[in-house]
Amino acid sequence: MMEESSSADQLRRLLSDLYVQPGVTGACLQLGNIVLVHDLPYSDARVTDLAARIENLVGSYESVGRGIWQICAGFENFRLLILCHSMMRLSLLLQPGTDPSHAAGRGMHLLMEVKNFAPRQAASPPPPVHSEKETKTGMPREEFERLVSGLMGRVTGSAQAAKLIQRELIANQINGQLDPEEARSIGLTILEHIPNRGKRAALCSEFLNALKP
Amino acid sequence: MSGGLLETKDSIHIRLGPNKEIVSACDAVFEPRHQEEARTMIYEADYLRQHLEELSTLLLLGEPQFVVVTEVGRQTTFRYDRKEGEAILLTRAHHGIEHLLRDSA
Repeated sequence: MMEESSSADQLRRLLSDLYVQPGVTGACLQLGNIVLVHDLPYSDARVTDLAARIENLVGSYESVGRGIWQICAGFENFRLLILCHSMMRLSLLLQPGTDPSHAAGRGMHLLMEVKNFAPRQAASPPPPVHSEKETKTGMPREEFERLVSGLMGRVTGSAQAAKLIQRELIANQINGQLDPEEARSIGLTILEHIPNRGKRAALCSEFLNALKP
Repeated sequence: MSGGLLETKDSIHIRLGPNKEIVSACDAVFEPRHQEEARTMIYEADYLRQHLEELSTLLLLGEPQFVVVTEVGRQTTFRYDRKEGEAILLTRAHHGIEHLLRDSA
């Protein structure tokens, strides 16, 4: 089933299962500090910031040999439930009166499913995307740069990301429009610079999904 | 982190005053061999509170009220109350959140 649909669609479908549990108002799945998918009612930038803070918090425990299963934080307006499994973190935003234990059970089930999914993505990035539409349309250089720098910006400084992108575009003599195959291969070449295999695979997957018409 | 304070009882309470002083606690907390662990928990309460306040500012969640940290073999509940100070409840994992909040009140 995993192979039949894109990784992002699959992850979104898994997240939507969480809403069977009353009181769930949003969710974010991250691998390390990389957001894989989220439907929290906040901007992507804010969720990226949240993911970094959660990773920092959980990492601070792990660095002293304390493996965290879950953290449930209660606030005036919401509860935030953070579930951990290996490098995966699933954060659920719950309404204040919600008992987190039911959502936790469902969330942990999701993490177990994703666990089997993520290593395969890391080992073999998704196959190239080819479609009839792609063979006919291209991607403007500005749009390509925005897409790739957005992805690279999650793991490296924006200046370094811009430098890598420009270097590849110049090397391939791209000025205006990239045809789909150029966009795919240049984008993947740039993303290959991400040293962490898991993060690289996740971002490559997101990149290929973004290229889909 | 198995053993330690939980060697003596299944649940350990610590209540802190406004200056982080211990207002009341289970006897085991005052035993010399457990004081380092108790100090770590008091430090942890403050550390987590800072994290929660950052998350609250980021996501507009309101005032932090509690946090429950569940790890292998233990569960620690930190309650934050501006008037009554902070309370820490250490138990063996794994209890429901509602149950823990009742016990730490």
